[in-house]
Amino acid sequence: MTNMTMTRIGIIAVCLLTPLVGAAQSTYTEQSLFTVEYGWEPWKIGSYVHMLTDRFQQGVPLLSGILVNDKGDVWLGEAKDCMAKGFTYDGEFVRVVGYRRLQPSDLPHEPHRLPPEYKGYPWAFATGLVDFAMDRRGISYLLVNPDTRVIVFDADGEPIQSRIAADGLCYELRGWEKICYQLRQEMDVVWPVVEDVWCDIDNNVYLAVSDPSDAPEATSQAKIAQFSETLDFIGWRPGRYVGPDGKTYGFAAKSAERVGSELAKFTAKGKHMDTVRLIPPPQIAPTDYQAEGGWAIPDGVLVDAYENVYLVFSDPVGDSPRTDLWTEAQVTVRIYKFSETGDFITKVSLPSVARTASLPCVAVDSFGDIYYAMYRKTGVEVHHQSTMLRP
Amino acid sequence: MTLLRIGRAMLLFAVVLSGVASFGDEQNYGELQNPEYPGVMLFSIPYGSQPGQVGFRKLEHSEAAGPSHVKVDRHGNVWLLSGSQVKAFRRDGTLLRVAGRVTRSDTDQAEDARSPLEHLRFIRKYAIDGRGYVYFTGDRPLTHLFVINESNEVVLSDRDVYGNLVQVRGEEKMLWQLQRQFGHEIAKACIGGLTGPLFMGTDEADHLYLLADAPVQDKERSGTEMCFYEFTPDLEFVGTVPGYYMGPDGYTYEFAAGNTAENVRLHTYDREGNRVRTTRLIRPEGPWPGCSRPVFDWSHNIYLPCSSKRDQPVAVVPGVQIRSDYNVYKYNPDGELLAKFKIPNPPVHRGAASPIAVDEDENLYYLNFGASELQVMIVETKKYPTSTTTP
Repeated sequence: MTNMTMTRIGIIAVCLLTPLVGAAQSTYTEQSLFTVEYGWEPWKIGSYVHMLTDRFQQGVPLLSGILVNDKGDVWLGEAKDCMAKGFTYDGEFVRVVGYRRLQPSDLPHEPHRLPPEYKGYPWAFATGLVDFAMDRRGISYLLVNPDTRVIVFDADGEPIQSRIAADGLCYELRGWEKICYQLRQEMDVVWPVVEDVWCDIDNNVYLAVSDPSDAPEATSQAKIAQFSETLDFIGWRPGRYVGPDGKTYGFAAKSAERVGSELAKFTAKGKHMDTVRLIPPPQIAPTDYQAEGGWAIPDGVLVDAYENVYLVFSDPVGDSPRTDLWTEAQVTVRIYKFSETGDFITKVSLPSVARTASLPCVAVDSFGDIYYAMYRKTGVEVHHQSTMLRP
Repeated sequence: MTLLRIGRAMLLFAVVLSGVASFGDEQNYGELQNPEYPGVMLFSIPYGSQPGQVGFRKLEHSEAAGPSHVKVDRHGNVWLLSGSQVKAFRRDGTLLRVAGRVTRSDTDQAEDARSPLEHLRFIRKYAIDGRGYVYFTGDRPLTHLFVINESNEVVLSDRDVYGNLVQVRGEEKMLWQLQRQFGHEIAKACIGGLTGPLFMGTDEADHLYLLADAPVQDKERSGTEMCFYEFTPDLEFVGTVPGYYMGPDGYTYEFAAGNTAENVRLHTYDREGNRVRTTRLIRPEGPWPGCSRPVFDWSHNIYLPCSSKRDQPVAVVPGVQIRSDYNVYKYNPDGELLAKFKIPNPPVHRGAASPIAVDEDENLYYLNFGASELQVMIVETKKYPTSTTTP
C-alpha cells in the first residue's frame, strides 16, 4: 500500500470520525505527557529552583499560559522572561520564541529620554508575558507588559519589525508597530490596552482591546479587533472570545439574573449567528456555577474546532496553613463542556493546575483534548486528557 | 540609476535649450528695443556668519556653501540660502528669520547635539511656502528632506516611549506614502537617498512639489523621465504631475523639441495635470549656449535665464560667481519675447535651482556679489513695455 493510499484512508477515517467526536459524550483519560526541568537554559523553564522559590513567595507565577498548535506541539509561556517555549507531544524541545536577552543597545541611553536615532526595539522594556498565540505559519504573538504590547515573531523566532531606511526613517510598518498604529487610528487613543490575543486557522489575528480613554462612549468592556495575516486591520468584531475558525463568542447580559447563561455566537465577519442557552445538568449543584441566579462569568472560555465551548472556573487549592509553595502556586479547575447547541456534555475537574496571572494554565486543542500544566518540585509537568475517539 | 536618469533629464534640458540657442542666424525672430534693462538694489546684507549676515569670510567655505538661491514668499520677504541656514529678510533688509541649523550658545550645545539637524553641514535645495514652512535637503549622501514649521521646529513623527510610531509626520510621512504607492526606489529618489529630489517648490495653495524620477507606469504612458510628486500642506500625497518646471499657481511646464530647428515648444499643464497650452518660443538675438531653470509668474509669463557664453565659475568671497554674461529673457504665455534683463555675475545656483525669482507683481529678483556685501537686486519688469519684439 502506497503512502498516498494510506493518507487517503486516513483522511476518510478522520472525516467519518469527525461528527462522532463532536456528538459523542466525551470521555476523558488522564495522561502525563512530559516534564520540563527548571533551569535558565532555553530547553528548560523558569530558572534555578531557589530563584523560583523566591518568585513563588512573592506570588509571581512562573507560567503565563499553555497553547497547543495544529502540529500538536505544546507551548509554554514564561511569564517573567517573556518567552514561549515549544515542545513536541513527547516532550522534545522544539524552539524558543523571544529568547533574546536585552543588550545595552536595546535600551535607551538615559531613563525617560530616548536619543533621536532610537527607533524602538520590540522587546525593549518587556517585563512580563501576559498571553501568547501562534498561527499556522508559526508566527508568534507575545502579549507583554508593560503597556500590553504584542511582539510579533516570525517562524524562525526573529522579531518582525518595521522596515527602516538607512537614514533611520520608517518606510513600512510591520509587526506590533503596524498593529498599534492602526489601533490608534481606529480608537483615537495613544495606548490601546490589549487583554488577549488569538489566531484562527486562516492566520487572522484577533486582539481583545479595552478602551482606556475618558470619552463618554468609552467602555471598559474589551472589544475584538481582527487583523489579516499581513496585520492589516479588518474590523471590530463583537464578543469577547475567539474560536479557532474565527467565530467570536460573548455572553449576553440582558438581565442580571441571566448573566453568563446565554452565549452569543458570531461569524468571522461579525454577523450574529445564534445565541445558545447554556443549560446546566441537574446532577451539578447550582452552587457550583451560579452567581446571583445564573452562570458566573468564568475565568476563561475555550472553543474547539467543533465549536464545543469550555467554561473554565478556578479556585485556590485548599485553605491555609500552606506549607508547600509549589502547591500554593496551583489552582483547582472545573471545566464545563457544552456542545455548539448549548447542550451540556461533561464536567472535568482538574485538582491541580499551574496558576497564572489570568486564565489557569489550561488549553484545548482542535479535537477538544485538554492540556494543562502543573508545578512540581523539579519542573513543570504537562498533562493531557484525551477523548477516546482521538484519531 | 537615479543619478543617471537625472543626468539624462538635465542633458535633455540642455539639448533642448541649446536647440533654442542654435537657431539659425539667417532668420531674425525678434529684435529687442532695449536689450538690457537695469536692476536696482533692494537691500544689501554684509558678509559673515552672524544671524543678520550671509556667506563666509573664508574662501574654502564659500566654495561649498556661499549665499545663493534667492526666493520671494507671498508676503514679499526675500529668502536666501547661506551654508546650513535659510534666512528671510524683509524688504528693508532686516533679518526676519533663520531656519536650518542654528548654532547655539555653549550651554545649549548638549541640546543642539540632539537636534535632527546636528549633522547638517550645507543645505543644497530648499522651498518655502506661504505659511512659513521651509523644506530643504542637506548635502550628505542619504540626506534627509527636512520639514521646518513656522516655529522653526523640525516636523518629526510622534513616537511612543518604545519608539513606535504614534502619528507619522514630516519627511517620514512623505516617504511612507511614496513607498506604499511606488516602491522604495521612487520613495528614496524623492526623499533623501543619494540625491533627493532634483527640485522642490510650492504653489499658492502651499502644496509641495518634488521633482524626481517618474514612476514606471508614467514613463510607459507618457515617456517622461521625471515628474512632480505633489503633497498637500499636511503632506498627504495627491499624485504625480507631469512637467519639469512649476509656477506659483501650481501649473507645471515642460520643454520639448520644436517643429523646426528655430523654435522650442513649452508644454503647460494645469493643476490637474492636463496639458492646456503648448507655446512656441522663438530665439532671442545672439548665441545662447547656457540656460538655467526658468521661473514663471501668476500670469504664466516665462523668465528664462541664459548666459551668452560658457565660463567656469570663479570662487570669490563669499561664494562662487558666474563670470558669464547672464541675461533673463521674459516671454509672455504666447511665446512672445517681451524683454531682456541683464544679471551681472550671479552666484552659482547649485543643482537644478534658478538664479532668479519672481514675485506676484512680476518683479524679478537676483543676487549680486558686492565687495563686502551681498546685494539683492530687483527689476520691476512691469514698468517696461509689454512687447518689445518686432516679429
